[in-house]
Amino acid sequence: MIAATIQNEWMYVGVAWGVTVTVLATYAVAVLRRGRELSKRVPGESRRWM
Amino acid sequence: MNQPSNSTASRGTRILGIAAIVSGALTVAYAFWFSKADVELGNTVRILYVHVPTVSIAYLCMLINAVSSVVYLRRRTPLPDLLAAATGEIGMVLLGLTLVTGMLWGRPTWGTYWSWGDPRLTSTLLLFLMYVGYVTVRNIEAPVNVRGTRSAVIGVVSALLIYPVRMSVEWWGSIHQGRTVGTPGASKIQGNQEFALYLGFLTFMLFAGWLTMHRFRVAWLADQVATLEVDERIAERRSEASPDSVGVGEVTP
Repeated sequence: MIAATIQNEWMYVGVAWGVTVTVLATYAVAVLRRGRELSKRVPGESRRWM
Repeated sequence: MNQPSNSTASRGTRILGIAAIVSGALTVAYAFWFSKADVELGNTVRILYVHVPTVSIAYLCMLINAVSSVVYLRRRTPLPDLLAAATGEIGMVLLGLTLVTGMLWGRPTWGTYWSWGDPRLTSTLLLFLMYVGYVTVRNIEAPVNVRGTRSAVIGVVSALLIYPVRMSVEWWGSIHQGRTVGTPGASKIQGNQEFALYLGFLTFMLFAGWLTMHRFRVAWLADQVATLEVDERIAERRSEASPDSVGVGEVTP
């Protein structure tokens, strides 16, 4: 019973951390890729403002 | 002379990125190895090391979004508009993760993923939907000043909800627990658990800072591309109207 509860808890912990890392990594990669795509279409002197 | 970079990276983002990775590795180490299961919460306390930082940094992003929106409405300059765009979107993503990790914490702790009657849960969902609206309006094609004004108004109105959401547990009662840390002498966790949580704050702050810089530059580049496309269209129209005339930007021999 106790072992089942602990196993159950770890499942929720794993999913919570997994979702967080996956979503943030996917979002970060999407932002970086969009930046690369847009950079190619903008002249060098206008690419960076900050 | 250095060639302009084809990415949104810079020395600043690299430093922030490396710091976020190091801090993230330490957070994982403290969350899973050095901190023990909680007496009351068991192993689910480890969900709090991402749940609490995501909501705190989401609020921070939303506050920056609101301040930037007010500044934009007063000054009408691109910096606050683009900063608001970056922080609004990142805040929305982090708050979405807060809702998901909160549900995953609630199931083993409260016995349910969601309770519609709970003020903290429903008000947080409402806040999340407000920022989904913000990002949606931001992506509707419109002149830069119209887009900026619309989204700034939504950003300011949405931020007004942060304080009621934050105080909902105290004001209306909730199955959600009160503050985990931050109340002097009354933190619900101590020792390595508390340290893991503070490391989580640091990691998400560094990560959000890194992401904000990249997202800001993407927004800047997107506006530059839009301006270039308008210029190209104007040049095309002019050359169509008078085929013998010299186009914009062309040099006569």
